[in-house]
Amino acid sequence: MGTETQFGAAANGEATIQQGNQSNYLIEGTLNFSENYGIHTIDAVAGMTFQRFLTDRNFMTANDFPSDATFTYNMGLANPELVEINSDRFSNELVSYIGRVNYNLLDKYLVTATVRADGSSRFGEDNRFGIFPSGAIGWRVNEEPFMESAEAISNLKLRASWGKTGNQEIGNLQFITSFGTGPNAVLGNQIVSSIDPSNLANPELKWETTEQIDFGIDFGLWDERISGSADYFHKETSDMLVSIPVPSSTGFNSRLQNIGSILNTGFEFSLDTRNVTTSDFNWRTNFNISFLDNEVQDLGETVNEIVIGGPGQVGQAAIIREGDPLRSFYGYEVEGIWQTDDDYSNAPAGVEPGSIKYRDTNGDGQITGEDRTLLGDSFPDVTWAITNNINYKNFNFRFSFEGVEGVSMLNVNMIDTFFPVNFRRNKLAEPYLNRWTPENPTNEWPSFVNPLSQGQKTVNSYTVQDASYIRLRTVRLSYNLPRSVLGGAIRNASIYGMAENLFTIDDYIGPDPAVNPNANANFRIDWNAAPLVRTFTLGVNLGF
Amino acid sequence: MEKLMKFAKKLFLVILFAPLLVLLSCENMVEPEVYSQLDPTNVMSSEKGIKGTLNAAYAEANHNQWNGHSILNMNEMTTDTYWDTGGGENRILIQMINFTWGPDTDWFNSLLWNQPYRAIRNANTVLDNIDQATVSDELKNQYIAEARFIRALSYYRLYTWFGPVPLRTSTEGELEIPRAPESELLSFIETEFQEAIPDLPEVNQVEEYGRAHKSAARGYLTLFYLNTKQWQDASDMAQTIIDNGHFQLVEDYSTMFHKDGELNSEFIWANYAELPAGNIWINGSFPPGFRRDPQTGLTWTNSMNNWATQYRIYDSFYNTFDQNDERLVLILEEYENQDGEMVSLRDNDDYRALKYFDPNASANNHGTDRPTIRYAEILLARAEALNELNGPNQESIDLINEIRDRAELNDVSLADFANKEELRDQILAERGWEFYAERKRRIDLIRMGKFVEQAQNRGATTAQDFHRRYPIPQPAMDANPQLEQNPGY
Repeated sequence: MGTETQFGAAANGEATIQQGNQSNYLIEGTLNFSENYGIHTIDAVAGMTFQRFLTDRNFMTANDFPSDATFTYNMGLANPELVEINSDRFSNELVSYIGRVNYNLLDKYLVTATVRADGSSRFGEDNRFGIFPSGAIGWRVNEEPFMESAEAISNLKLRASWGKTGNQEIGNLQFITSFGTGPNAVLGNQIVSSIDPSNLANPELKWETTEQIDFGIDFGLWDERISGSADYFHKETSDMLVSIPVPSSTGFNSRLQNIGSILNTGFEFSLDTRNVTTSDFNWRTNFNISFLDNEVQDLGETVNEIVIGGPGQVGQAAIIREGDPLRSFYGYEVEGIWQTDDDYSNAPAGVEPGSIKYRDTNGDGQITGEDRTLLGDSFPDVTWAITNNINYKNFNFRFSFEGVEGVSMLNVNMIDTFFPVNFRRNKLAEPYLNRWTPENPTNEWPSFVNPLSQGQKTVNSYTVQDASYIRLRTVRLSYNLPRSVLGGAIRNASIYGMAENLFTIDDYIGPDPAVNPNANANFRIDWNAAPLVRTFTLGVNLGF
Repeated sequence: MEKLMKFAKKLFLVILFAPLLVLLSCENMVEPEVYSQLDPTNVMSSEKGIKGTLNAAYAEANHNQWNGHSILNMNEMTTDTYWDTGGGENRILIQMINFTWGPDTDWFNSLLWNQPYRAIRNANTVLDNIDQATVSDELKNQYIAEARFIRALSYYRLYTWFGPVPLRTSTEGELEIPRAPESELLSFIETEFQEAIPDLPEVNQVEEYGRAHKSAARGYLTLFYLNTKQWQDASDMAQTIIDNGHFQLVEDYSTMFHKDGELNSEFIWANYAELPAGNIWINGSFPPGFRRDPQTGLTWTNSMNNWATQYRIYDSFYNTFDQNDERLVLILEEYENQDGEMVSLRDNDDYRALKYFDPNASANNHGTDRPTIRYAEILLARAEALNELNGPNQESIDLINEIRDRAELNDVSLADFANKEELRDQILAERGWEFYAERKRRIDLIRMGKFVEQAQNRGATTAQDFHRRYPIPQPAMDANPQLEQNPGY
């Protein structure tokens, strides 16, 4: 930062270089076997892979330069007392032994069996390896002789599979206590470095395992005029690797643990139809829909429930509890607004007309942590999309809708609206413009006077919002110029107009109910999200 | 048949090679390698490892930089001395000023709860491992005493904020433990400080300035006795420090709070700060566009910051000062702004405390120590304890007058005080003038039974007796079902 910036001026010039180098080695050895024995076909693979991921990082920053001219190119010019350097290196390794056999009988009956043993450096010696078998069978029913008479059925396949997979996507060295750079102390009138324990060791860490059973059907009717597939799955993840809060009197806030199991069950259905097929006019529709149910089945014997925090200043935000969806939003339910004529004799401290009225779920006359309740979850009950594609002569018209139902999201913009850093902060317009006043004694939004008079109950039924929506995702109209008007080198040409995100139907207050900048699909938090872009495109495609 | 033979041959090859693959590989390939992190098997067996971890305990117990300023404000803003508007921290401070804080108020968890427990963890790590480490016996005993000092200090702070808390004296053991009985925690704190004293060096023999010494342990014991109303012990311990003669009052009050005066005869223990990190509190105390204090010549430079948040001294507190009080030198009544204009801060609950200034400050950081125990407090502690034991007495009056003399105020006399209560009120006022912005006021008001009253008087009508303890933070409650919340929250 040059001296014309505020921080640069204070430091008399600051230069920072950060370098990172990630490498990934893979050694693979496999034996392949493939043979035909008349009606039998067998493919088999046996092999072993070794993978190593290595990261090196270097960091240096220097302050107090004689001139801005050298940028970061001559850090030796800085004041040697104001130089900070750091570096680190870490690696993890994965070794796998794999065996797989594919068997095909008459091209009608298909069987696959796989077994793999994976070893990961992220687990302790006794838990390093996990064994993950899987198998699948398929039956092409329409190849059977008895199906020959059913001419309407052009394709029919039944599938079933079962398998276990492992997950080791955690940080390195979590199963031992390692020591890293601690905070700086001030001793002898100077800053001195320190070391401190980096994590609370968990020597028991092991592979997370997912066992999935899947039944499916693929079908085609009337020469694929209608085709589609349907799948039912039952997926149980056990020994989940989760960073679980631990009592902070240990000096640590959390520890990585294998806990309990969750069950995802769902049904997926997709359908392709060719509604009209004539030489001038074509209309195709694709529709897919999925239903999902997520439930925490078991948290083991020692834990009843786990409450976890959100990012930034969100505070405690979600709960993991048997029988409920994973990371269900957990906070205070808003009943309404305190009105002028209400009875304040037993009101919680700090309330006045226009304050938020929280539900006293346990009826003890106070609003405490005990009153928190489930406010929704991050797993949509239903997700669907439909696309229509219509051709008429040289025109093509395509539009698609998508939607989700039964999903919630924690809206941090709402938290900033109700619990602002200070009164100058931006607020979302809808609650603020419709706020409670003596003249507008609404029961919907509070007065925004003394917003912190009941503390920071940031996760509540205002801030956890229904994020269901229906959206017109794309509309596109194009026209292919007929060959006759094209000449020379131009093989084809079309002009088109396209609009994306034309409208969204939702109850969500905020730019976009579909965002999830929190990067965890199972814990939806609208935090510093970029607003949704509505785009209009006009274009010409030329082919030469 | 021929095909079957071929198949058998191939199968045989597979069976032959499969073990070979296993042999070629080696399970050591997934033995984790530790590069930049320090390996626990050797780090804690060396003196360097022990000392490095002890440094981390010091670091967590040293409230400087962001944490130091936040913890100071959270405590002082509950009192009748100063308040805040604007800036990012106002979200928290408004709750402290108005007594609307709760278990969800986020700094309780990160600063008041987690940080002392990290200091305790680091101290416990030292204590658990030092016996196996190659450290000379003499140093070993000293390091043990230092670790116990920091652990006791951290539990003392936790106690003054939350009341009794879980007592963890080793890194081993159950994760979930309940709050210790009050008597057990208090006796632990007292014993730890006392047992540390013999192996701690005298203040003039410390290895490095800022490491624990006998007087620091005695100083904290004095405060501990005072705040647990063990008056005889408090007055005795204060007398021990006075008799040892290591400390005396600095002649000019204001110099202690500036960078060039921070090494002085009065600081017994402090939250130490050095550039480029430092004490960042004064940035919120500078008024808008502040350039210069005409009274002292203290001048803001372009290398410094001036925050949006504004720490403002109440008129009602400012007006209790005698206008001749030397200590007003560090309180800003009017200032010259960047345009060279004079701006008055009078009569608007807007005076500013300019403690902890460093003329070489860089950005947020002023390299100025903030005292946590000064010799002046030892004198006033003894004065207070003797008054509680015996009512107004000449020795208490003399001790108070030592402080007043330094501030160039007239003496008070024994005849001015009809009873214990009147002298107690005087001591509270004296402490207010002496220790403003030094994180003393909350605990003083609580000890003297004025905490709730002062809040009510200045309009924080939600204040009740239960507010004398802070709530156990919600994340701590949620992570440990054995914890019981303080009543009222």
